[in-house]
Amino acid sequence: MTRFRVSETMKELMASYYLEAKNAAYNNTPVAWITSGGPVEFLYAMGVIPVYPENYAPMCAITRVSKDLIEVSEAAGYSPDLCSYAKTDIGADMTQGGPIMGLPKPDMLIVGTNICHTVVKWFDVHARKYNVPLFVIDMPYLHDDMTEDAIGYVVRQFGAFKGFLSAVLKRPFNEDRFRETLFLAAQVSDLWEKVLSMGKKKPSPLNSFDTFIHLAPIVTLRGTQRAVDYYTQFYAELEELVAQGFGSVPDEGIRLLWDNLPIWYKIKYLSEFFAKHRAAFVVSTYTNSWAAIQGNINTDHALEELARAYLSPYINRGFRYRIDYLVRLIEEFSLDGVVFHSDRSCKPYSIGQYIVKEEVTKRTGKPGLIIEADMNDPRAFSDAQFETRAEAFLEGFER
Amino acid sequence: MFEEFVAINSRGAGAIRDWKKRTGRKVVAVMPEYFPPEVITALGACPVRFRGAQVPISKADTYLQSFSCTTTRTILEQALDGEMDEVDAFVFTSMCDNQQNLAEVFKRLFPGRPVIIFMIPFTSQVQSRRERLKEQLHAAIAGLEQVTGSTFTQGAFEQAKALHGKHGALVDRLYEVRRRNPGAVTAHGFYSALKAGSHLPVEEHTDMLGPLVSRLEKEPVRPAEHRIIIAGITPEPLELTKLFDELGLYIVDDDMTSGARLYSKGVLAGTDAAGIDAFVFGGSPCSTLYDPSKDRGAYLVGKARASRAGVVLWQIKFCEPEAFERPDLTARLKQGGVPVMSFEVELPMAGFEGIRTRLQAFKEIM
Repeated sequence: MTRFRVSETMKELMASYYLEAKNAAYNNTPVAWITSGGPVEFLYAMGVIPVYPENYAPMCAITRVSKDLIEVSEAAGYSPDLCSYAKTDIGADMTQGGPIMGLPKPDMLIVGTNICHTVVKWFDVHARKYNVPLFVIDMPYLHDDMTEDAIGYVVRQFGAFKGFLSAVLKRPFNEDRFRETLFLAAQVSDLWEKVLSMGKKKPSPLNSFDTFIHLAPIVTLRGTQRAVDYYTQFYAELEELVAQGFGSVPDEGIRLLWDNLPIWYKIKYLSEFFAKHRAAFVVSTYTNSWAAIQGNINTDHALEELARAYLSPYINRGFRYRIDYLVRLIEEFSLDGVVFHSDRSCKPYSIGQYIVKEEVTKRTGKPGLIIEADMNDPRAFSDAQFETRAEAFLEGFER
Repeated sequence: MFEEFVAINSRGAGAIRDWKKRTGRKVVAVMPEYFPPEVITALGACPVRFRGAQVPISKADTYLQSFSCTTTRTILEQALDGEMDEVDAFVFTSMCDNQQNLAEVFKRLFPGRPVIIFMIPFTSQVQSRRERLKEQLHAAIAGLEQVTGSTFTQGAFEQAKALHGKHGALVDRLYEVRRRNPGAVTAHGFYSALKAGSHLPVEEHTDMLGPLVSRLEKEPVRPAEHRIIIAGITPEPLELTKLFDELGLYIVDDDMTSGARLYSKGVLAGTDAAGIDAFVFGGSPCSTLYDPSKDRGAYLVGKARASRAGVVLWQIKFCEPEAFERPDLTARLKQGGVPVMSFEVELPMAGFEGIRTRLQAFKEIM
């Protein structure tokens, strides 16, 4: 993984965000637990600190405690087959474990269904435990094209969400601050897209293992000036690196796409493995999802634009879209192949990958590799099995 | 008493194949629940259902990972095996992430046959939910009109409602007779009778159920000491129900998506927002629906107490909606003084020795 100058800045930024969240109760600041695809702009507009179990779970994996926390959940009766993010989070909540010793207690729970239906069941577990209100916003899966019906449906719920926040917090919804937040969120998504587009450069100054880590601010701080400043700085550093001809993978030889969530507990290992083979992941469908959350807010229809943006992430789209999108990325990023992480925990991302892989290869001639693993549960990863398959795949490019 | 139902099930989709040959009419598969079949009947087609089956999985492994639930995998296996060749169109509901992506798999693998989507809303906002359901229903009706070449009319809808209403009333009587006299109704027979309806026109299934229910209602009350309620998505593999009969565990009621949950919804009263909302979100709670106004724990405790029964949570491996509820549900049942156990199955499995031992132990503690 690349050590950027901004890496230290990000550590400080995230430390200060978590410190603020942990002290929220002392400062009389409300806290909402929210899903990664939830509309955070409404929370910032109302001075609510958003906290992401889906950010904390990977932190637990990177710090090598996810397995223990998963086992705590399983001992409490949660099936070994359930989502490992959910089980890490439930285990961390039960034990107040993990790198920051548990998340701050929520005052409310907010779910967006644009990533899966699992989050509804998962957050419902917390709603029962904490006896706090849960607001679920349905952002329906787009089997085909974006429809006005779907947009209208999400907009109606956004309207109700404002009313919900106003009722829970006992004050009117702050429209002025909401507009500011939307403006900042659009800026930060735009910056994130520019950061990711640096992967088109040859050699690429950053790779997906870098962007998996530098994703944290756009997930947690989208809609804040801090995030805008951070990605402005990051982008400027990347421009410098491009001017110097810097490649994040030395002697970049193979350009790949990573599909699905990262394998968090193996990031360093995978980064080193692929770098050793001169293979760079220059784009990933996962990190691109936050670039898709980019409404054009300079219109009279900000909520419609926001709804359109929240319906857009890759995981919320049907296979025709997914295949076309991968074909487009292969072209735009000059890719040699695609690695599909078949993620045991994430059914909506993973089920169908075999078909998507075949059809993408048929259309582009570019090979694909399936890695069977799990995003947060180290028990589902075998180094030997992975290396055998990945080496065979990479050797194919050398012939 | 149940032989003819067992015979229908042993032929898989054979009965519907015969019906289609005989009538030349269209067949539409509901995949798997919570789309109103009355709509399909009103358009002159036959609604059928595929809920997974006890079949070995081989072809489906080319397309689906082993961590997809076996309901999903065996449904695809059946389709690849030609069991769905008579189906002219599929209506997929979004009950879970597996089903949602399976709809996409069907679109890629069977491009000649329309896949119509009926999205079930997961939202806190009831008014939005209703409007969304209405939009979804009307879009599905438009899609089905194209498939069937028929126009949806109020007259045909009323006739379809009457047919399904008559069928539903018989199913309700079947459930009632079992509640009253569980010793007279075997678990395997009961669920074979229900399952046969998946692959029969509603009129034919109604004609078969009528005599069965009348006969069961006349049966003398037999002792049934160890009473059970089974809870889950669907009682598959169906062979496993025989184990309850062998062990003298009398299933007195269920909380199954393909059983009491479905039939508690009754018939679609109207195609307006209130009608479709009452159909999908009416009736008993379901793990696959988001409806915070319903408390499944309290519902199940009440049902078990009323029936003086223990509860068996019938978990299909990798079924997230049920698995998420299991810890809380187990605790709530125990707190309510209701004996509870759970087991996990995969649909293709044939040996049930481990489950037998556990059920025997459960019987002893009840």
